[in-house]
Amino acid sequence: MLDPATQRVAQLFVRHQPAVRSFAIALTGDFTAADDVVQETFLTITAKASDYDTSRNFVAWACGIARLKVLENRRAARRFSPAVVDSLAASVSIEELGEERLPLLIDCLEKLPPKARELVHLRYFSEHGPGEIAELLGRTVAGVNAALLKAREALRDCVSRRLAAEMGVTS
Amino acid sequence: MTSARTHLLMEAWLDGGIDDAELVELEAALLESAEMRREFWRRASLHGLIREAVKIAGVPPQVAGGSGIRTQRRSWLSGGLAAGAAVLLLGGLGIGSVVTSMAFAYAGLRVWDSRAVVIHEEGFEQPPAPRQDFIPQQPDVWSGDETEVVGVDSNVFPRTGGHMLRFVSGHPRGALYEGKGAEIWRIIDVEAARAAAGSRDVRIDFSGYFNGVDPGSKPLQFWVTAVATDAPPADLTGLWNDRFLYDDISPTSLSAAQSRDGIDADPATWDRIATSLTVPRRARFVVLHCAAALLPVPGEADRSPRYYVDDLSVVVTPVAPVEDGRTAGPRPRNAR
Repeated sequence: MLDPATQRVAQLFVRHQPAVRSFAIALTGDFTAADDVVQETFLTITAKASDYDTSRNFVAWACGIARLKVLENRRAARRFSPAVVDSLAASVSIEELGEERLPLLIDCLEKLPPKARELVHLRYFSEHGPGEIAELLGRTVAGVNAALLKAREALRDCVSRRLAAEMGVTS
Repeated sequence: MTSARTHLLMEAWLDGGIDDAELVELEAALLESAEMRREFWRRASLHGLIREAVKIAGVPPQVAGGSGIRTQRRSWLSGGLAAGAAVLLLGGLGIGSVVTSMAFAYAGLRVWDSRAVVIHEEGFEQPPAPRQDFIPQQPDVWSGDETEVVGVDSNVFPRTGGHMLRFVSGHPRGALYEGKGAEIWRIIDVEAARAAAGSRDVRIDFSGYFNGVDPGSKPLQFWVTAVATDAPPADLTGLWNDRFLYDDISPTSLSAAQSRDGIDADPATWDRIATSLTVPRRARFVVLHCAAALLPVPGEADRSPRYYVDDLSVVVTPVAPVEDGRTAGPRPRNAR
């Protein structure tokens, strides 16, 4: 049985892991390396649960630890320099990590055209890189990159429209 | 450097397609401009959230080209996601695991082009949980002797999503014998896989990510095995121990492949183990087997090994025609 402090931070971590994972993905540029960072962060925050000041924003605290784990991580082929990691970590807005957008994003995924959705699935579920996707689909890497960019923009627009609609309803 | 160029480099970074010179260029832009850092987070946070959303949403409905095979998808937590996921996961904290009745797994079929078909991906995020009846008697379900779907467990966090599969103990139920494996199986209907791939001759690739915590810090042994057979599923339980593994590959075992690996006992890292099997034309089913060797600590009757698997996938790919009958491949080692 976990002690109450550990249980509390573990619960918070589970609730906010999408934001922490997004933070790690951004700074590592690599899904696998980011997953390692999330694992390491979880171990550290549960080990240091008694250090957590409940008046602090939990995501900010967890991302602070994740930043250190990103700097320690050696799995990704290419890494940001420590100066860039620190600069980006200092400039992130916790709200920008936007886990509250997740349900909207799930709905928006279903609105993508089938080919775009398939591409998104290959990239984000099967975790193929653009080069692998190009090979699988018989397309050029540049074509895959362009299609991915377009799909992401479509998702961003869809989420923005839904957020605006929700705000309009509630205001 | 123009903003458009920096934006392209940001996209390349997020997709893992940036080279060394471009990385230097991007870093300079990020250090120089607060506006670029804001733009980076705008793009990067969406990138991270899309991955999370896709993992939760599961396999999209898709029709295989001409095969008539459709995906299955069960929606889960399309609203109230964070709260729902938290409730489910919290059940796993403190008590060690979420009971199997709360378990979620998903099954589906996905197709792209005619080259490769993902016929199954499993992250244990949606129902059904693996059955508890040793080798399954029908295709397309996971089954094992004792496993359970859990959330965070023993400091191990699921590789992706909120759940993973924990190997509980070896067969028979509740007993632990040195070196015996905890395991799960799945029977693949080869005819359906061939139809999905649009080819009579196919290769099946099976992979999974493994993790574990061993009190003695020994390397943990995991393996994945694929066996092609023309035997009906109802016969497979008896055939598994008697013929597929102990003896030379028998006429009912048309080909087999196995990969076995020792992984570290660090709960923070997940390791991939994969195997490939070229399926003979006469084969009707492929039995997939995914197992962990249990290493009991001397003097400790630990019947709750902390070994896990997550993100299993099965891909079928058309290949050049192969001769009927046995094909070359490593002989599987005994799994039990």
